[in-house]
Amino acid sequence: MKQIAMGIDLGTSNSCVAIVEDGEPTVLANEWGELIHASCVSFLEDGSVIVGNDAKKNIITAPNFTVSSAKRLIGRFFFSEECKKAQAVMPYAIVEGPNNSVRIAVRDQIYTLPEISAMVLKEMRAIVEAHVGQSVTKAVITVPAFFNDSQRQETKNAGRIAGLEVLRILNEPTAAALAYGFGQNIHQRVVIYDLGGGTFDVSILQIGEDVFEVLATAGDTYLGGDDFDDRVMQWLVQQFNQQYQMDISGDRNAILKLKEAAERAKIDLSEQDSVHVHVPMVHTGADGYSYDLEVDLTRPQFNQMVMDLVQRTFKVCDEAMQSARLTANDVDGVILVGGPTRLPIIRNSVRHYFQREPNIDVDPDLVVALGAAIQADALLDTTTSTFLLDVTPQTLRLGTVGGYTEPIIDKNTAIPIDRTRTFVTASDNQEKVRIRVYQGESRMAEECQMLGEFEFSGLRQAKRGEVKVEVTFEIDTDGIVNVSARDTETGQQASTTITLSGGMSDDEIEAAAARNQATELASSGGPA
Amino acid sequence: MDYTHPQYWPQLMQLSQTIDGLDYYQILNITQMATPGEVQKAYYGLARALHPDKFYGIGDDALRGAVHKIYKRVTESYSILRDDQKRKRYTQDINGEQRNEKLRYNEASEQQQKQEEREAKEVAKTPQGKKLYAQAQLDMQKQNWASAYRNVQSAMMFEPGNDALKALKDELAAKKDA
Repeated sequence: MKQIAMGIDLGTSNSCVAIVEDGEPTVLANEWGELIHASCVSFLEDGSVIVGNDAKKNIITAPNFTVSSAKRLIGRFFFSEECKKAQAVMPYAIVEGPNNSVRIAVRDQIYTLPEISAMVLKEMRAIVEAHVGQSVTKAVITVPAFFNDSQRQETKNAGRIAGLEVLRILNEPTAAALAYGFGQNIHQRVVIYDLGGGTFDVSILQIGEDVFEVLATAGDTYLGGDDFDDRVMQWLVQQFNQQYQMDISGDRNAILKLKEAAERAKIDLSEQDSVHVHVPMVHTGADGYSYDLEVDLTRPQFNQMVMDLVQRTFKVCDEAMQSARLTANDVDGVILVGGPTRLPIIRNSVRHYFQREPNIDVDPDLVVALGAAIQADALLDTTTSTFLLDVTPQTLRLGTVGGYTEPIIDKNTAIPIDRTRTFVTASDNQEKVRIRVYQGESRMAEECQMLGEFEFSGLRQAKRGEVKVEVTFEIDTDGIVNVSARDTETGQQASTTITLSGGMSDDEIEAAAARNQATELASSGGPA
Repeated sequence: MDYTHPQYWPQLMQLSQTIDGLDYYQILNITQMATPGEVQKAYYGLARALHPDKFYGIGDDALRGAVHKIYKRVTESYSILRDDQKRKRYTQDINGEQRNEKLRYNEASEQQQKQEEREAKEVAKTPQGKKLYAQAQLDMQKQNWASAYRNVQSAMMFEPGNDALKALKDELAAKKDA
């Protein structure tokens, strides 16, 4: 049987899967011929689930049972801003789990975020298996370059739950570069501007023949095409309220309809200078009548609404360029990735900022999956012909007294890498050492993301100051943080437990995998 | 050389044991005089030979562990030697008496380097001078000697009697014309 490994672009709004066939990376279509699948999971009454574009239709018809944009919540704490925002706008139930984690409650069941993502992965896997006619379990899954350790770990867990062997967690911009550079002997510095549904990344790569070195990466995991839709949606709500002198901001169903219309209007404005938005039966008034919304939206109006969002992306570009110690003149090419980069305002702004025409040779919606497939294929054997030298996007920090942190591994450091720190016992017969690990760019612990609290126990019984514990902080090729400790004198490894982390335990993952396997993927009859 | 071939495995296993005794230049197999371009070239060469991805499909856990350990030291070597300031500090350290304790760039080296950076910032005394001096430092990191020279020259307009700036200006004058 032929060895096959798939590359999966697990997006906030849409997902995509590709494999290398006869030496060529190819995005696979589902049975309806669709290449791009909404990252939507709809839970049906009979216990089965629908994933993809059919599930997306259920956002309006079965809002409480249909989960979308789960990626925005993966690896986040319940008290995070992102979670509060999702609770306000998402029709499905977002509840609190152990250790401040986030859970989704649907039809009397409680799901972790990795379990939701695992449904999308299960669908991607089914598309591959239907195409090749054999079981395929090896996969490379992409994540935004700016994802922190918790978000990467949870994405990897999603893969395990879907029964996949995750060969690599790959950064989306790096994957895109790989898709562009594949088979070409180019020697240049390339900027990847990646605006996805929910995240924005920029990576600067130095490509030297077969080596892809990431010089710097920066990002904003709270900024994406979704936010553009929200702006249009808010404007539509305003228009409705003004036209009819009613306030529909509390009508969730109306908001969902307008959000859908907003997304369509945004997409149409990439091609047209103005669009006519007509949403039938938006809201039923106190008088029992249903009211439609009809309004025209022009491109300049739209540009005005989203200008500050566009500007935010260039602040991130500034940061990356500074980290790489480059100016726009040093750049040989700019690659656009992600559906929202089709917007003329983005293309024009990118052209203006980098003083060059951006490259769009590869479909911005498919390029990440294609790159992931290339990397997946390369990991199958030792004849690997391209090398990815990636970096860690955020500074790894150690918590110190008084709510402060100190850096251990700086952002934009090449990975894999490790660093060690030595701790000395502070009291006689001290049994354990406890440390907290963070990621972020602030000295203040509360302004960083806590990854977890590690406890090293079983220390040698001795007077204070006599036991030295050497703690190793490792960032692996997936960008995932591993922490271990040993007694420097005896060389004995201390046993490590992680607490205060929202992540799933091995037992939980196994149970979730069993539940995932038992869940059937339903198909509701193809595209409309 | 294809290190994934079993004939090289004993060599890799051994290197993973002895790598703790090597400095970053030895790990990258370059001299202490290597240019930034040569540092990068050495790093790319080792990435091609020893990147853990190449060994992904090999079932031998011990070997993969050894390669991973070696490769982490390669990235560590590169991340220090590509940074002019860290490289300067590190090179002094390994040529000094405490060489054996300083083979890996550690907390102490970092503290010392930060201190030196702070002192460096105090080279200029006036607000305008400090600003221009900082700009010159950035130029120097980019090896843009002409621009660094101009910035130091401008800084001296605010601090005509500053000997440290004068010395730097002369140094840069030579570099930009080289």
